[in-house]
Amino acid sequence: MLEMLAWAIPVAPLIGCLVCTILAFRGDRDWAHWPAVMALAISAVCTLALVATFSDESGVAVVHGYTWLDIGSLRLDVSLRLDSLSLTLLSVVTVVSCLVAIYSREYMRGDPGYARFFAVFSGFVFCMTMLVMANNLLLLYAFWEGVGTCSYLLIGYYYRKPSAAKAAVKAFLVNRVADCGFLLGILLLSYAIGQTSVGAGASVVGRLDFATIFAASQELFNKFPDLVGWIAFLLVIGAIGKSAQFPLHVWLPDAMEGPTPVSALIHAATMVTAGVYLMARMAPLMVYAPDVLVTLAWLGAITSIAAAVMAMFQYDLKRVLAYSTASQLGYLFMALGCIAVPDMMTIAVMAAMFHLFTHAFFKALLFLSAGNVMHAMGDVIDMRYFSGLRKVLPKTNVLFGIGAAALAGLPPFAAFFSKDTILSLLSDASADTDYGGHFTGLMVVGFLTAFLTAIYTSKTYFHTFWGKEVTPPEAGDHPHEATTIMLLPMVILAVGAVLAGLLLGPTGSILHYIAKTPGMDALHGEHHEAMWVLVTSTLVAIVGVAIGYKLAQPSTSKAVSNDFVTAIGDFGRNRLYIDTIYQALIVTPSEWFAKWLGWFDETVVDGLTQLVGQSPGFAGLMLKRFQTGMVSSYAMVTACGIAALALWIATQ
Amino acid sequence: MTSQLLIPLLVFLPILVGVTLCLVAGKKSSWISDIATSFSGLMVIAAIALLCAVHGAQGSSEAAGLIQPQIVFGPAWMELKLPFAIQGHSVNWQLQLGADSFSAMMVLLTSLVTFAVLMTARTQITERRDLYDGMILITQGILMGIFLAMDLLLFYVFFEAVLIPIILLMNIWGDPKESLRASRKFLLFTLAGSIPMVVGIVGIVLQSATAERASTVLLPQLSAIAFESQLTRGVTESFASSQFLILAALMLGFGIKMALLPLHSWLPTTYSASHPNTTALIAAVVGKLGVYGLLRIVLPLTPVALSVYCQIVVGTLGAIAIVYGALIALKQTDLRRLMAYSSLSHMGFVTLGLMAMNREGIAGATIQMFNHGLITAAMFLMIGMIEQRRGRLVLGNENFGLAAAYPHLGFLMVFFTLAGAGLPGLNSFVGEILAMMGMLRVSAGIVGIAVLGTVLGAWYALRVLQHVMFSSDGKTNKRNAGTADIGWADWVALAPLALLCIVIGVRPSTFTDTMKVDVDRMAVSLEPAAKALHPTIDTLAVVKK
Repeated sequence: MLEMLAWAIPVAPLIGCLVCTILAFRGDRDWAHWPAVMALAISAVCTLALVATFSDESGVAVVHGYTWLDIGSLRLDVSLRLDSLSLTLLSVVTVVSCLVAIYSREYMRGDPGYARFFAVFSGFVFCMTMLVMANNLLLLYAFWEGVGTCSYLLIGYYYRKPSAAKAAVKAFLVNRVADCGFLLGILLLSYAIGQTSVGAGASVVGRLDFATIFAASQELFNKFPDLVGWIAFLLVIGAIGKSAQFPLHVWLPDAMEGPTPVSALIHAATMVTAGVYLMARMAPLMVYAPDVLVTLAWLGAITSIAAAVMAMFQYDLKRVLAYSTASQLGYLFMALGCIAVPDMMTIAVMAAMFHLFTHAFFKALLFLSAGNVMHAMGDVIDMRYFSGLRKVLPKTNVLFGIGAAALAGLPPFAAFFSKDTILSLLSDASADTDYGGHFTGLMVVGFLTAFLTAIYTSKTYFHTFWGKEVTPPEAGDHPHEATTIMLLPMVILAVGAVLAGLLLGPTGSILHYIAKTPGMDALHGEHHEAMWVLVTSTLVAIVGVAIGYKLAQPSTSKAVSNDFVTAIGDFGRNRLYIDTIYQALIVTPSEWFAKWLGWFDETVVDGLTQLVGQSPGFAGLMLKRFQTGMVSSYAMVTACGIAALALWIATQ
Repeated sequence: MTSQLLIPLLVFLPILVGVTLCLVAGKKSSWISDIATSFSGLMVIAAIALLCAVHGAQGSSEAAGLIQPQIVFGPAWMELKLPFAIQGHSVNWQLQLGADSFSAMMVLLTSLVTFAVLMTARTQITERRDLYDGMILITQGILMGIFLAMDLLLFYVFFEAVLIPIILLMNIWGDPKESLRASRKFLLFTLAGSIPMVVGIVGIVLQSATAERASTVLLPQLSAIAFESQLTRGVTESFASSQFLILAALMLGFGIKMALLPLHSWLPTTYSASHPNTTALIAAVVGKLGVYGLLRIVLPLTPVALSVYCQIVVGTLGAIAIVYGALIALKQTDLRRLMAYSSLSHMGFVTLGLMAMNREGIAGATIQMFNHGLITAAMFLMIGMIEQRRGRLVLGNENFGLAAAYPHLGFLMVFFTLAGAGLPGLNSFVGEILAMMGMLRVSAGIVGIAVLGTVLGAWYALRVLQHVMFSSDGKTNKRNAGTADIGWADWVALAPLALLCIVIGVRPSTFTDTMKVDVDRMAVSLEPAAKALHPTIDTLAVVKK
């Protein structure tokens, strides 16, 4: 039963993907949502059934599939791993994807690539569920690349648009840079595990199975402390690429070229959390590299604050949300950094997974609301061209409002609890003797980001839905509210955005659930959140929202515009010039070098080898006479030679 | 017994049919290409049968030696008596054809690619198609001969003979402006390679003869001798130096053929001057002959010298080729040349795997040879299809937007590009990861260079997709007007290749299980040789029994 349920989760979307592919070849525009939505619903139901029924003594169940490869030192099985950690993310992935698929039925209606959309969409869910359930690091990597490819195909969904085609390539390549590090880390890890007693012993051991890695990590650290640090660092590179963290965050804003449901599912709720999942999954190994973890936390902190600044100055509604996603993911990495502090692994992982869980709901909700706005405004998403939409889109107004309140961290919405868990975790960690200073700094950044988040969220919300009603000409005469089929999944997400925090956080249920994951530390006593953190963050959120409301008023934004604000604004809108710097320092020099190398190859290398090759020809007149340059004569000579040889053999 | 007959069938029948077709060509009869295609389809079935037979016959051979063909075809009449003596023994060489898993994989590749090439030739080749079909079949037969040769003499004869049809194919159907110069260059390079190769082969044969033992050209015997002397003389510098000259000659010969950096410059010109349909066969199979020679001859016969003199150097060259080829491909504007440099880059992984000299490396290299054959054949065939509709493709400012105009072609192009970029779940990933895993046990630095290839490889490949397939609406483009998407024949040609890409990617053990026995045998001598001379190399404790 367990095996059936477990396999149904990835296999159903795979079948959905194949059926939709066939429909895509037939040019279908009406039916493709059926296989996709049904497959995703099966997936979601199976996941929830597993969450409800799964209770194993050891806390983990491995469902064996088949042997992928078994040669030399490498053995790799395709098998699924079920434990609390994977089930938590799995329920987010399947439920949100199913809701977004229902939404997409209306959003994508009549699009020429309708079936293609659902094919890749299902394919993505297949890859993502396999990524989460992979029992082996290399298998995780395989599907890690798989979700990246689906993301590439979906960002480039409107492939006739040059900007979409370009953004797709950018996303894939930035991710590949990160994956390159990740892959090297995996290779090194498999090498290192082979040197330990665990890996060298039985020949049937899959070296990269998580159980093996966890069992070997203590010995690995004793044997090669430096190498473990490097491996952890390389894994971190992989994680920050997929989760769009500084300095590899540049692909995420451009990824908004994809259809809005894709932004909601892949680039907000699920795929971008894969990096967080990787770190949480590998926590038993990462704990041996505290310096790397602190670096990771700081990268998260830089991202969270820089992305919040950039979000503040964007005109594009979807890009505001994209930067906000990068910023929120930064929180998750700050939380994961606390693994470096002794005995805090479980709480750190729990805090990260908690915020991941709530974020998936409210961010997907916000993106889908943005999709409604975009639909009503005739695909215009630039906030300078519309405002005051609360009469035009009354229901979307409420839904967006709930999402925004959750993002801003207002109590009692979901992110209030999950964000506070992280902040109080950081405050606990700052008591640590070795890394306490770092975590104090990180906590300050965390509060600052919370403040900025409240400002840009409320500014965006109030600007879009309140004030004077303005609609762009593209919207036509009667911009309309979204249909019921679109609103229904949004309502479910909104319920999650309101209740998920309250139900999971203060009750401690998520903490005890995550703590069941094998490899996590045992819990030490009850975890209490500091009262001052709760109070401060509530104040920060309220003040931020008020400032955001002020900023959204057209009059005030003019009044405060002086040189300094304009300069900061330009800085933020130009993405802090990070993309420009990459272009100038990495892309252009590489292309220049490539061009030079091409010239070098064609003239120098070719010239020299030809010269050497022909030199015997100059040596003797005899040979020179035969160098007629006629290929037929060369062929003739060769043919004669072979014929003579054949004749000679025959006469023997 | 019947499986033995597959071998002469695979080698000689295509040559026979090909020659016949060439002779009756020009009669303007359309059924000739039907015969050629159906015949090559039969050859695919025969090749699959051979692979199954090899898989079934595993472990049946009792003889010692690193090369043990599971299926042997060596009747008594294939014996060569020469009127001179070596070391006091009269020369009496038994010749042999045979198949182990490496051969069988390459035979399958050859037959599949030939089938695809003949299938697409129905629309691609408009002039003298009968002759073209005949020539392709002759080439196929000779290539099969190379892969199934189990002695040095037949190997060499087939190795050289394949040049004749290739040169003719290049010239008659190639680009009229370039092909003459290109084929001259190809021939010069190859001939420059054959001379040292002959020297090396003669050297091996001479060394095989001692006072007690007559000389032999049979690879199973030669490899047994090599292993025996490795055991008796030990893995020492002096033993290595006695093989140095042979190794140098062979490496020069095969190095040119495998386009080892910096001997590769024949490759871009050859690939771009031939008709893309022909290039598919050249790039997919002929381009593998060098590395196959390395696997078949150099690795099992001179492992000690190889590990002393070449392992690190050639491994580094392979890693550099990965980056070098990918970088140059990045800025190529002609799609044919771009694919040529991409081949150079992908073949770097094969070199890397072979130079790892361990189980993962060899398995990875063999899989990668096969993979790259599938992918590159498909890519060149698709370039042919595009060029037939659009003229020669030059990337520049023009917007093609072909995906909108030819959705089926676009789908296949994206599929094979992703396969080539090493997407997990498709075939290249398997070969690359195995090759890198093998090499990592030798040198982390070399792998550090090679792993950059995964980024650069994706960069140029996706750039091609972006500019050729996407970025504009090809339906409204006037230059696409009046052309249609690919037809059923093209699908029949490419679908088997795509299917195999998926099979290998999803379940590589389908093939690696067959290869395992042969890989283990090779590793028995290679791993100790590498380990003894480079003590830092990690030969893992896992030795499966």
